[in-house]
Amino acid sequence: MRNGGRFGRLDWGKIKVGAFFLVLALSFGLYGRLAFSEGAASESSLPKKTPPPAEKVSISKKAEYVGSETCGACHEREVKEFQRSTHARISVPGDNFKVQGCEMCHGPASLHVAASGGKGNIINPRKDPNACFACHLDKKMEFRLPYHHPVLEGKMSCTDCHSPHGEDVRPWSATTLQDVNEACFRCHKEQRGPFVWEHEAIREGCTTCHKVHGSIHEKMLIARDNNLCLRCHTQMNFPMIGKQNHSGRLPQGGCFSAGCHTAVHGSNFDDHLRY
Amino acid sequence: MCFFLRLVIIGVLVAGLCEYSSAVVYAEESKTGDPSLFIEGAPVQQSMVEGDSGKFRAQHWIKDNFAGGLEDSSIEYPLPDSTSLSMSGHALIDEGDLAGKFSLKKEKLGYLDIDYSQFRKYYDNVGGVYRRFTTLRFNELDKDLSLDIGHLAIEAGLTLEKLPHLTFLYERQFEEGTKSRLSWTPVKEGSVTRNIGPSWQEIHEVVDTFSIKADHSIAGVNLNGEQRWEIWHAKTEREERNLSTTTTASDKKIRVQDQKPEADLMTTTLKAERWFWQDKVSTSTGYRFAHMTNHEVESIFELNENRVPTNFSNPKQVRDAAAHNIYDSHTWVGSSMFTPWRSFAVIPKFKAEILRRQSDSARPKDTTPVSTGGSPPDGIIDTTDVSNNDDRLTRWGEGVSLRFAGIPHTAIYNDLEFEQVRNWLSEDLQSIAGQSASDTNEVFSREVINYLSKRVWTLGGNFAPWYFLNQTVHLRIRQDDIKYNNIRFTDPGATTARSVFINNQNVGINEVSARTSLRLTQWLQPAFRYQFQESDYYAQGIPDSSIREKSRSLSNIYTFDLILQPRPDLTMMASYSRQTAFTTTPASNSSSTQIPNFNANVGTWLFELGYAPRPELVLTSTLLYSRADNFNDFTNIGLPLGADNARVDLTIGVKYSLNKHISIEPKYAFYHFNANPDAEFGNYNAHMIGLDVSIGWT
Repeated sequence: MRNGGRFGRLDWGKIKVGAFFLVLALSFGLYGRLAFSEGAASESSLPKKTPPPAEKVSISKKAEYVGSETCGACHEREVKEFQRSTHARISVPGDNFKVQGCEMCHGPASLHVAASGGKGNIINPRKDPNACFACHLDKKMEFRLPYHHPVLEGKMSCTDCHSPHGEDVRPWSATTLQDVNEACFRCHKEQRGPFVWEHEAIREGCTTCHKVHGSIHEKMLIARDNNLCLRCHTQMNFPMIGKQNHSGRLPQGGCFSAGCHTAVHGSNFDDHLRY
Repeated sequence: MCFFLRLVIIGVLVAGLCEYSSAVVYAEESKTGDPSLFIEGAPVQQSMVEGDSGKFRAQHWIKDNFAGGLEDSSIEYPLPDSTSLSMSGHALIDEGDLAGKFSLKKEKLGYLDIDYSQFRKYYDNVGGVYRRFTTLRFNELDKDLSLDIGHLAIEAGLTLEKLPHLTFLYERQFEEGTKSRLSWTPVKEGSVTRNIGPSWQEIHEVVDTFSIKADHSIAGVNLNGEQRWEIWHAKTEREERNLSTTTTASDKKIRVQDQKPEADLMTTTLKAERWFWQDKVSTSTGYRFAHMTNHEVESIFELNENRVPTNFSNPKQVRDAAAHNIYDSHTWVGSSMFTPWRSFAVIPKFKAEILRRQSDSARPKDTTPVSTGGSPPDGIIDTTDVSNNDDRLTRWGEGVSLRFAGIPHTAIYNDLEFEQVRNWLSEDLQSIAGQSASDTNEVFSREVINYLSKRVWTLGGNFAPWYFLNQTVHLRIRQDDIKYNNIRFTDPGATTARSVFINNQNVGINEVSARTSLRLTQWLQPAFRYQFQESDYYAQGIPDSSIREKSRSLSNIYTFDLILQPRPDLTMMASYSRQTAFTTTPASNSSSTQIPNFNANVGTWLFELGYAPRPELVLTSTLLYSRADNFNDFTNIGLPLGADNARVDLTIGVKYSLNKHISIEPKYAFYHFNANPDAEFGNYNAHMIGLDVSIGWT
């Protein structure tokens, strides 16, 4: 009876697939309705184009740089916001240096301007992490390590965690409205707590223990063995930890194995974070 | 089920295409704009795995055997009166990878976005390896592990001119499935125990979020407010099964943990921003209030190998434990930006925060009778652990950022950040007698005020003296000092746990990164990035708080990138990354319980190629080779867990455009993973063949 699989009262698989197709069917239905009910033959001011695959060539090779002031004509708020952002601090001035401001990440924007906006004619880093990898070379390789967040697989994007236009591209500094772990807790809510017994290391940030872009270790840990915990939990009379002698336990395996400190993110019941 | 789904997909696609064709005709007649359609199907994807398919799935996020479906599709259609419609989606059913997005937007009126996405995360079902074992050297679960993760969001916005822009959002996030845990279980062979047995956790989690946002400008002040409610509830079940070659019943016990956590979170966020003096000065402020309550009910069952509840020595039998937490926070932030000269900017920032957490829990335990061979618990609560904790935290943060771009082709920045935290914490755990007397070993009390002082200094620049050279340098030094002012604590005896054992902790983190990019010619563009990070941890505690124990993590990462385009139709990229990293603690020098330094070294080569000899033909290929070499054989005194493996990924695709609108792309991939059998389990060779068909129309 106790071997799992007890949450089968609702068939979530069917519900989710049903919801998916409902959205898709609604989309097509609404699309058809709108396409044929609006009979006006006026010229559209938004000639949006998505390049077909055979024509999906590098935008940057066809387009020219236009400068952030041009972007500001339509994206005034974003351009202003960007001036305060972390990324703006590396915008190099100079008449001969055209790659500044918005176009550092979005690429040359002349096609986008000529088309009065739209998609497919300018780089969207939200959909293409290569825009970020152009500078953050190391992250491209970290995402290829065996345990990683699925950015290259297209299931996440860099902007899910980072705020490239925002005042802090890493919105977990000492002066951000967001908490240090808020970007992580957006998905990992089970680790958020609050717990009755907290692990103080969490306050310092998930990156204290996790290498969040990619790692060679499961769960993207910085170190896989007890050294991870012993960085903080150490004292001069080691293998004593507190007043407990751990000499018999440490050689057997990790601190959070064998039913010991299994609730490393926090526990509601145990002061030593055991379950 | 899958057959049915495929039929539905084909039906939807056909219907979409029919409607699309009609729409194109309509659009051409009515001259409303250029609709576009793009469909990329992956009708065939077959992965054949020899070896550990679980590890293959976990590392590549790909299901073995057959998978296929619609890989990508999008349709965009401009309508009259500045209205646009777009839809996109994909459905790789066998991989549980589904997405659908619908967006309808009318300028100066509003928009409606509906977004559904789901993907599957796979987990390896093998625990660790201990090379000195012969029978239970590694162990595999009898189930495959995967977790479906997804969300449905419906967002509607009103963007009427001169009126506040309003956004309404409903979102449901979910997680459903079973994942692996690193809470590995004891495996015993003879008299030796190593914790290498796999464990898993079944998860059923739903989060419902409702949000209303308003955005408006009044007298040049941009105002922004959001009210958000989040309701989270989950059911989880974790199982840990001890394994053994012995006949002792307790060596094969099973521990099951059932949890039902719930949380309600309400946040109110207000922001204001204004720009002055020809946009040379800006100031912004924000406030957020968060109120959260959460509850959890938990039971732990210890079972014998036949899954009968059994008390062995030191039993863990918890029945309907309940916990409550209330959390409130008020956060204020403010920042300004002064640009007295075009090339110089100052950005001061501050933050003030007050947090309060009140927590209590009760954990009833049924721990008798106990016998060596195991006895069923009698169903009567023996003792109850009662916790009452209170936490009040105030936090101040200050920062100033200076940016100077007065030197041609140079941008320099210097950031300073400070944080001061005062955290008053009162924790009390008591044992209440039931059938048995209260357990004095569980008594824990502590009242502490800890002070954290954090300083971060960042200095960096971006230099582009010539168009072909770009150099960035970034230095970051961080120092955290935590002092524990212990007011009250238990010190029950010589051997039992003491609640306080750290008096001071200091953490120093030094980071350096540098990147050099060269654009020597159009066809040769090398880049190099170096990163160094050193984290030093110092702890002072019992028995002699005058002595600081030092631990250290250090990493160097070197990354080379070379882009070659010798011909207009040929692009090649080669990347190499080498990470050398280690963590060392005082345990490495321990005479009685030595734990050597932990190494995390890895080198990765990546080659990418794109070749388009003819406009209708594109050849793409990637080759990755990665080697981690970290096995340190101290199995006689411990459990080495360093990664030690080699990996090869090869992908080849040939894309051929049959005409302007349709292209096909047969693909082949080979994945190889070879682990040192003394360090980890899970070799595989996988071949994947697939075919993509793309249809694009504008």
